[in-house]
Amino acid sequence: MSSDDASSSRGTQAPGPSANPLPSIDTLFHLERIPNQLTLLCLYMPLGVVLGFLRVFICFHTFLVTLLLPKTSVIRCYIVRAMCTILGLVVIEEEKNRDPEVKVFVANHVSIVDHWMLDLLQPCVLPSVWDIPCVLNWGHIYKSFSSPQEPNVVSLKSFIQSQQNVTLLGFPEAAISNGTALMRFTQTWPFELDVPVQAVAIKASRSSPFRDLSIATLDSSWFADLVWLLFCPWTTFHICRLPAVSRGREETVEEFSQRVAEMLAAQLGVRATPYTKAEKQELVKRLHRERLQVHRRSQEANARSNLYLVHMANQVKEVLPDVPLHVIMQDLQETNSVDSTISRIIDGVVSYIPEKRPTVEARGEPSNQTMPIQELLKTAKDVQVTFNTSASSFGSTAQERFQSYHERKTRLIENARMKYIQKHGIKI
Amino acid sequence: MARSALRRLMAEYKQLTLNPPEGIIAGPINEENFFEWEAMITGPEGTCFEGGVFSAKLTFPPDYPLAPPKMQFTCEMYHPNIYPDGRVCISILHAPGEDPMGYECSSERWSPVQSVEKILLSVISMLAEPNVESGANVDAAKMWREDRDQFNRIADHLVRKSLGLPDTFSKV
Repeated sequence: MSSDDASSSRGTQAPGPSANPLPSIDTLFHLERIPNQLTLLCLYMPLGVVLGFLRVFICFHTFLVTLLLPKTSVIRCYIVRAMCTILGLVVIEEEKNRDPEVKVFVANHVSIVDHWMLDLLQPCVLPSVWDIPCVLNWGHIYKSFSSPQEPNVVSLKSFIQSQQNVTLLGFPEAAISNGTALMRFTQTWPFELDVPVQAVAIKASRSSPFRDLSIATLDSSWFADLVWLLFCPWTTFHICRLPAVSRGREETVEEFSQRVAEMLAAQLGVRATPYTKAEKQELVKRLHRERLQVHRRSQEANARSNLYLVHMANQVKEVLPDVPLHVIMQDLQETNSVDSTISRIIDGVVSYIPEKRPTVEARGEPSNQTMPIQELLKTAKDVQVTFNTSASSFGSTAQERFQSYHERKTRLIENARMKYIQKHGIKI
Repeated sequence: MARSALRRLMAEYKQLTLNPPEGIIAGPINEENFFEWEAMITGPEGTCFEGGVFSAKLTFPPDYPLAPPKMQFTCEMYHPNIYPDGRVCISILHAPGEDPMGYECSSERWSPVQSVEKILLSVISMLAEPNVESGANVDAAKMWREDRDQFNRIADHLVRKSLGLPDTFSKV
């Protein structure tokens, strides 16, 4: 045992890799499902979807077979194993340390189907149900022993004695990792039963183009994991059963579980780390918080810039009340300046449909008014075409505008004078 | 505030220059002071003020268009809703808060969606149809009610005066 690593005090003295510094907890889990090779995945997508769809039906059949055939029969093992191969779950048994005396397996946890894969080799029961619904309890793999988190040791013991060919399976890590390191064993019931314990090393991998597609991510649901398993061409599970070990007379449960952990880590060629399931959950929470913070920060920034935009848009609206607000906002996003937006609208660079404003008429003029102004003006238009006072253009300088104003004013008075004289028959 | 008032006034000036209602001209007297405008409005046809071109001064507050402008005729006027000094008393020129006459409902009042054009159109319609309940010029209101002929004569006199035509023309 090497004790050069300070952090190994919690029982992480794996012989080989312990010389390296302790890996950070983040490295134990995949944070993203798809790290790269997105184009390849896109190409495979149609095939994968069809494959996954077909496999869903095969899944049901497999489920039925596991229900119909007796759990301990050898035929069931072979049939289900073949069907699982069609489902893309290939099981390869590396060392056949078959020991009929062994009643307890402890395995590392790398995917949601670990126990199903092990069940194909030797019928086993998982005495806990965490987040997988009982519908998916293929062939009664799960069994509840009082509490799912920490099963009752006494009822487990009586179960072992009553069952002949069924083994109990425990995942002492109690959480799924990516298999690059072993988490600390926090479930201790497999080591408290006073029976030989067989450690099982499970390695899950995908073939070349899908190697980087994680089997389980840090916070993935069992459903997503299952869908991806059915989507991928195949996932290989290398299962290796280590020789059985028993707890020594002087050994405490804690020491025994540490010894098994080291054995397992050595077999897997990874490091036994002191990280626990609780720490994994902490990590999930922390990452979630960070993501939320980033999200909130970007939202705040957005809101701030939006507020400013609305403020500017209102300024423009004050000047040009009949321009729709969304047109103003749109142009402000481009110009980011009240003045240039106003001049762009006035100069006709920005086209818009004038908003209908409540007119003076609609608001109701003094009650005794009988003839609306529009009609008044219409009648005026028919007769007094000369009263048109519009200019052909709006001068760009004050001088031009002033001149135009005066010309039009003189013309208006002249025209009015002519009209009056015509109408009243006045001669000058 | 004055900046946005200026921009708004400039936009309205452009609108009124390029596309004015018939018989209306309005614009700043001098662009050095954009807050003081002159407006020419033509008396509506079929009324006693028909054909006259009346000049008025519009004075805009610095917080226009939040606050309404003031309007005062610079030519001689005789009308129930125009004070003897030329100031126009019309609901569109009053902010919703103020109500000097106590007869206006706030929906007719000034708001930033109103404009110079609307004011002038309202004044034209006011020339056609005085509101006799508002006694800006009590004498005129009384005459409008009781001696319309005399009122029409005075109006005609004012029309001629506004057009620079002497009153003493002989009709053929």
